[in-house]
Amino acid sequence: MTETFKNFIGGQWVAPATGAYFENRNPADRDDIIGCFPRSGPDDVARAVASAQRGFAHWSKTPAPVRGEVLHRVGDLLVERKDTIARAMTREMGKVLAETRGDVQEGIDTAHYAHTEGRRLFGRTVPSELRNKWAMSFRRPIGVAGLITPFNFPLAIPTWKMFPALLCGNAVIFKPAEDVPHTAHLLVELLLEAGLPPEVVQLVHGEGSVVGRAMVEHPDVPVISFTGSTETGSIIGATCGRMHKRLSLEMGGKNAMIVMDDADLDLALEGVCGGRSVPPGSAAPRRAAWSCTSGCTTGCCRCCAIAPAGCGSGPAWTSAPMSDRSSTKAPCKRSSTTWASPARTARAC
Amino acid sequence: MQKVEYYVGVARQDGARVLIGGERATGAGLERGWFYLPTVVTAVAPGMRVEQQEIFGPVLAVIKVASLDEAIRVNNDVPYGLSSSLYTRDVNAAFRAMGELDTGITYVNAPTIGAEAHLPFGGVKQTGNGHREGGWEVYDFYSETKVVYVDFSGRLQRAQIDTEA
Repeated sequence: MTETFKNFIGGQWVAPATGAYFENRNPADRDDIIGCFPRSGPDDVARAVASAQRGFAHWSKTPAPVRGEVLHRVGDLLVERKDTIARAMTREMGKVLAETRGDVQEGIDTAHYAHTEGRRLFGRTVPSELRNKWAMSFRRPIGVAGLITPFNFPLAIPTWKMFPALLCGNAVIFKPAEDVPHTAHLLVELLLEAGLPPEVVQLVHGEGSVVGRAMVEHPDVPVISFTGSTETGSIIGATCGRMHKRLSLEMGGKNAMIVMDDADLDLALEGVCGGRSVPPGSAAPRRAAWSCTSGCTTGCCRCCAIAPAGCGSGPAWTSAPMSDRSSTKAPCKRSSTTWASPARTARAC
Repeated sequence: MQKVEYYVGVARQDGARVLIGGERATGAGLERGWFYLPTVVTAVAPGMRVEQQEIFGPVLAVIKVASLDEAIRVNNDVPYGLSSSLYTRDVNAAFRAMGELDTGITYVNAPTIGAEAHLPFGGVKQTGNGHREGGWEVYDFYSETKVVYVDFSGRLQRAQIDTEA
């Protein structure tokens, strides 16, 4: 029987108001169904916003060093569960384990850095131009932050957005990419276990064009952080501009490596192959073009020719499956008889 | 997967040469997954779609350039500006590239991946909108600056107007 996952809204794990779900399958083995995840609608977003506003009311009054302590525990739990989360991530989006473990490590570093920031969050004190007058600035939380994240770094990117947002005293609504809902689920479970007050975080699964849009257009979500395509970012930017929202966009890339004649060619080849492994489905921070000053074409071929194809879960492999970005996710049929087999733990390799 | 296949097709159409890969990977254990061979495309000219657009797959476009100036120009002529990397032992070239590559991040003698949590991450042009994730800058993004003046003189003091009056 395929596991059915829920949203986290109002301090509870709840089914979506729509009653609809989508399938999440292993890109290295399409027969491996990870679970069914909510295909939420605008009503779910509205409930999440109302809950996040309640969470914000007390979290924003919690001293920043205390907020930092929660993130410290989050970091420690991520250390404990690094391998479990990395394996779940590999299963649902296909990067090799060395990469998904690195993804979790980025989350650990981000948590521990946020912890220390709880004892800084510096303001400024400057001299006034008048006698007997004091002038200073400090930092205030803003409100509910809507976070829309992509599939390529399923843990690291959500933590980049969520941990500083929380440390600053905001409540968050988290809308992960449809390809990686399981990693998002594990992260929210861990946050609650670390002691984050339940209404401070909301997890709403679903499509960007529905859930993401509802969040971006909601008047009580003053902050939006988005990582994804330049096309979608432009649409979000237009809405946020019109509604005077604070917006952070992280979009496309085409990252060139320039190799000069005098370069250490072996070092450059190692770099172009990723050094560790190649995550083919996850290109934002990867080598998209290689400009050579001369004569390195042969070396480049040698490098890629030795990279064997394989599936994401084999630790020795240096290639991984593509994420399934080809179409909208298949709907989950609620009858268990429609599944060919229960979700398996075995991988293709 | 379709997007990668589309771009490899586009590369061929535009006159580039697929040196290796260029098709789905086959073999035992791969038939139930989405696997594509590591692909190297050569004879790529600046301006080709395979050189300009984000593919999000294991496709490497190799562009031959004659000088550092040309390499910088090729890098800066794409609409995006996330990261870039320069491999060299020439310190003069490295420092010039650091200043002139239009990207949010430049790596010297390291690949274009490896951002650290306590430094700002993000790009210029169509990659971003001026904000950064990570590092100290993200804490500015998620908080509002509040300025406070406390007058303890016990009388009306007026700033920014003629205080000589």
